[in-house]
Amino acid sequence: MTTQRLAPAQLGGNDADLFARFYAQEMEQERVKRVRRRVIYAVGRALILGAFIFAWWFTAKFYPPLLVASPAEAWDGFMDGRSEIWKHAPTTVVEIALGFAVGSVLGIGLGALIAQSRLAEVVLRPYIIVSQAVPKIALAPILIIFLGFGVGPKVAIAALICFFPLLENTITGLRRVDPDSYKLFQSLGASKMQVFLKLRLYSALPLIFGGLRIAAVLATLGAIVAEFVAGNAGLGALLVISLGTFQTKLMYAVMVVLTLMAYTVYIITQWVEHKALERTNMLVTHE
Amino acid sequence: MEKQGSPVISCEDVHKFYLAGDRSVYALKSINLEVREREFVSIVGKSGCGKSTLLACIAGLLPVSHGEIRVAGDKVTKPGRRDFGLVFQTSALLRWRTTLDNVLLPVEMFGMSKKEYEPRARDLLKLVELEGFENRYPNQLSGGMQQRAAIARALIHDPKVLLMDEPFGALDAQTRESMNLELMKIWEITPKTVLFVTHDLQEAAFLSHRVVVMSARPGTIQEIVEIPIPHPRTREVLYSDAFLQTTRRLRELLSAQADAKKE
Ligand SMILES: Nc1ncnc2c1ncn2[C@@H]1O[C@H](COP(=O)(O)OP(=O)(O)OP(=O)(O)O)[C@@H](O)[C@H]1O
Ligand SMILES: [Mg+2]
Repeated sequence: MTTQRLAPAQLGGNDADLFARFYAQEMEQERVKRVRRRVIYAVGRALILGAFIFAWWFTAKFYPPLLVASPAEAWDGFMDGRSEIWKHAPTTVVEIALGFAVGSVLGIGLGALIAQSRLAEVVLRPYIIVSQAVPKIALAPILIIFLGFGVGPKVAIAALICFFPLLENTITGLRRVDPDSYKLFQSLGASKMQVFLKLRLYSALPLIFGGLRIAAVLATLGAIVAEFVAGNAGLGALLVISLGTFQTKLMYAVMVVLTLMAYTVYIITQWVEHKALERTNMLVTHE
Repeated sequence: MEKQGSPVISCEDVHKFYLAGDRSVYALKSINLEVREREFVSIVGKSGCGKSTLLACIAGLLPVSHGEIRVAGDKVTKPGRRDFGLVFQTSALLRWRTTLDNVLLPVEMFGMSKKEYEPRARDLLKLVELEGFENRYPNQLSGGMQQRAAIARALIHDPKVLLMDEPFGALDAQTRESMNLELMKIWEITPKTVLFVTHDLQEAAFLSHRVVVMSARPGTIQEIVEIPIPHPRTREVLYSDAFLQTTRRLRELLSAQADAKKE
């Protein structure tokens, strides 16, 4: 594994040849390092997952199966309740997607408005804070009156929960531009709109995407919790039903599915972020 | 010396305070300066003496606290003159644009055709020795290369007035010298009025008709030194007696400041 690194002078040969060999050696070393690093990462993750499952399994031993299901029982619950889970999952996915979409439009839109206009900031800020201070779960009954029993209230709660961090990030991102770049735009007689579209928006991209990642997870959380209190469909509702009917195995299975769902939403957002930042050359890598 | 026209930039008793919370900084005090058409004027002075501030005021980026600045007879109240080209102390390149697109930014801002200006942008990049880097991003360029790209950007719309804040600060001695010669060439081909901030006294003496020596706290003009060397200036100028005497005089003026401070 330990290939002794040779100095260029030790390789011999003509210049082009030497360069090619030295470079090939470097590339190979880099590749080996990369693979080794990947293995370490994977092992680290697997270890933590293993430890978690072990702890889960170990704890479950001390409680009756009616209260705590073991990992194996959760798996059984999943296999038995598959059709049930698949029946409820689309509702939740739709709520998450819509909640995330509405929340994102709200977060970025209001953020842009507030960042651009002092008036909008002064007038809107208190109500935005209020929207966060209000216990959103308690809103559920009111929302049901207005939006019915369908996905409406869940989307509303998901959106309400997820837009705030995105809004804050958008404001910060749009306001924090390089001072000399801003002066440059001013010196070119740029309009406020030009500064926004050609300078602020790009500078804000990393923070906006950071906000989107948080929003994605919060939208998932919001949708599920809303189903919890006001649902007859969706995985959150299934969770409540399984809890009420002592189907502990199913409940654990649903919990795991929900966790994986939230995780997936995050990963997708992260992937989009990566692509978008790469495309605009805003990706800052540490390696 | 060649004939110079009417004053393009004139500062009359300009004062500038920065208000920073409860403390204020007296950045410029009683600045009187006239830069005539096609004149090349450098500003030297130690760090923090107000050089960038003066440039920003002239560009209309900062309001003056007292006095008046006129450009081509008009009182300066806001930025955005299209006959100005600015080079800032940092390159201020946009990270999400390629070098070529960065150079074309002013064209885009002015609503002119980017296509039409693209050949010119490429020529300018060649001029600042960045041929082949048109499609690279700023973070893939060295600090000096970034600064040179910023100079190409300042020249793209062929401005009449150039305000340059330490444009060659990040360059090695050789590149700096060749950039100075290029700048002289550009200046001789197209008539430009240049206000040029630098820390390099030789550079100031080599390029300018006049060198403004500033002293700090508050920033004032200590002296304006005429450079008695005819244009066009070539490399030979660097070895002439007149040149050596001038740089020596500038150095003495600046070290006199330091001595005065010690006492
Ligand atoms: N935005 C600001 N707020 C408060 N004080 C400022 C501000 N900008 C500059 N100053 C102060 O004004 C003085 C002049 O600053 P300026 O940037 O013009 O100096 P400079 O001559 O360009 O220095 P350098 O050679 O280091 O670039 C400094 O003392 C600085 O502290
Ligand atoms: Mg400065």
